[in-house]
Amino acid sequence: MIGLLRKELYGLNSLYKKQLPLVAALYAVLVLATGQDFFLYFGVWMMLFYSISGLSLDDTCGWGRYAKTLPVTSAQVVGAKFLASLVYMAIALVYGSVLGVLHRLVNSSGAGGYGELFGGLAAVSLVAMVMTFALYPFAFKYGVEKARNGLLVVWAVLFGGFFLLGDRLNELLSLETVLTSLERSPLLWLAGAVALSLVLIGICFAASCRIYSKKEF
Amino acid sequence: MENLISVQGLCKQYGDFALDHIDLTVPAGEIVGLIGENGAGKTTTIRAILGLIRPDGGSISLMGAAPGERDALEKVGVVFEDSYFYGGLTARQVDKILSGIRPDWDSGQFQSDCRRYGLDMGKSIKDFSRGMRMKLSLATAMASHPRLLVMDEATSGLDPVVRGEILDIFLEFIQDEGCGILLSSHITTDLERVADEIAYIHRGRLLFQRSKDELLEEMGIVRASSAVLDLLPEELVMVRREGGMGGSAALVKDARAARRLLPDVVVDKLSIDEMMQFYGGSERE
Repeated sequence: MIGLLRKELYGLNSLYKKQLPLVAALYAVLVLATGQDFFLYFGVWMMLFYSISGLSLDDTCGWGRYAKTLPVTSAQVVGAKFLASLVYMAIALVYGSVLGVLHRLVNSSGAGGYGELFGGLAAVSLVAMVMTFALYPFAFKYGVEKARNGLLVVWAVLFGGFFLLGDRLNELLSLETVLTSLERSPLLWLAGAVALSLVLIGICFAASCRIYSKKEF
Repeated sequence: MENLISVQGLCKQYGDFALDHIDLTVPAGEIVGLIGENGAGKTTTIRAILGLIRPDGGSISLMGAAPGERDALEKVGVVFEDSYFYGGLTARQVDKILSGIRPDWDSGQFQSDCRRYGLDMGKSIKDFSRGMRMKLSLATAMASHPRLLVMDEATSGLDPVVRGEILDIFLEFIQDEGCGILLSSHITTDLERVADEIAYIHRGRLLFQRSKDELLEEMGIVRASSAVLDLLPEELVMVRREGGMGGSAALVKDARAARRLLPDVVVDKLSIDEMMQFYGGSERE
């Protein structure tokens, strides 16, 4: 298993070794110059999205076929990919946290509180994890590009629908009640969000394993 | 003798192509050369043996287990037509990766093989020549001390010097009589050099699996007119080609028997290439 994880990380690091430092530097400048935490949150989502490229690398060099001849299980192959995504997310979280704290130290009046920073990072991590891991079963089945494009359309329709609904969404979901409840019991909501995310990720993992084990090379 | 691979009645349908009841064995201590034209079914057979595809029928035993079983795969080294590692990786990283995957991985042997093959451990795989990539694949296959090597077109596209080196490695490997190799190749001269047995797949069917020496010593081509070829008993003739510039010809199972029956007729010795051309050519006519 550790070998499979190494293979994922070596491949991704080799692919992004020039790009990542540049993006990290750009985001640092943008966060400090504009005072917007958005780039910290976006960095988490972006790193998770980058990690999916491991499957593209596999497709280019025929690794999937070779991996099936190795003494490893489908769960280990898929698990290594999920773990690599988590490692990439962790890097973004550490970087985002350090940069966010630095931003608050430098610009204490313009930046939000630490609760907002870490709450935001936690929220975006959960959403980005679900979005990324939901992509894996489709990527195993249809290839990374088709899966990425397909899910981008799905997310665009979903979030576009929220915007289009506007005030109607408020009526339908009683957003004010939700927000009040969120303010009163944030930890309960966090626990619920974590539990729901774990269930969804578990479903994505099981589906990916099933698809990979049935895949012919 | 123990069979490292045993395939019986293997069937697989892909659109208008079908593997049709393939029977194949790879005994311990032997190199079995799998030959056939492009699209004949060699790679499909190998994929089925390795568990990469699900057969529609038949049975496959790989090291005594079903294809894809972990215990069996631990004892199998595989080399495909090209490297299967991302080009941005180095041989050193490949070593670290496989040491965490294969229980019997021998890092010392891998590094020693890489040195022996002139592979720079710190160089990106994408900067290796094709020959070097094949040597890297071979080093990765050998470093887990397999009992069986399965090679699909491992020597194709390589120059004769590199091919010669790789064939020497095969011969060295097979010194241990518990080991075996299944080697699919278009380069029949390589197989004439190292194979103990030849299995010939033609249009999805296994025409025969025979000892190479028997094949090359016993079989022959009888060149004569159609009327003369008609004198040969049916059971002696494997395939017949009519007409052409050199008259008609027949591929016979037993060249000596053909010479006895037709003492005034030319009976040529056979090469694997000629045999394949004979089968292919006879169907095109």
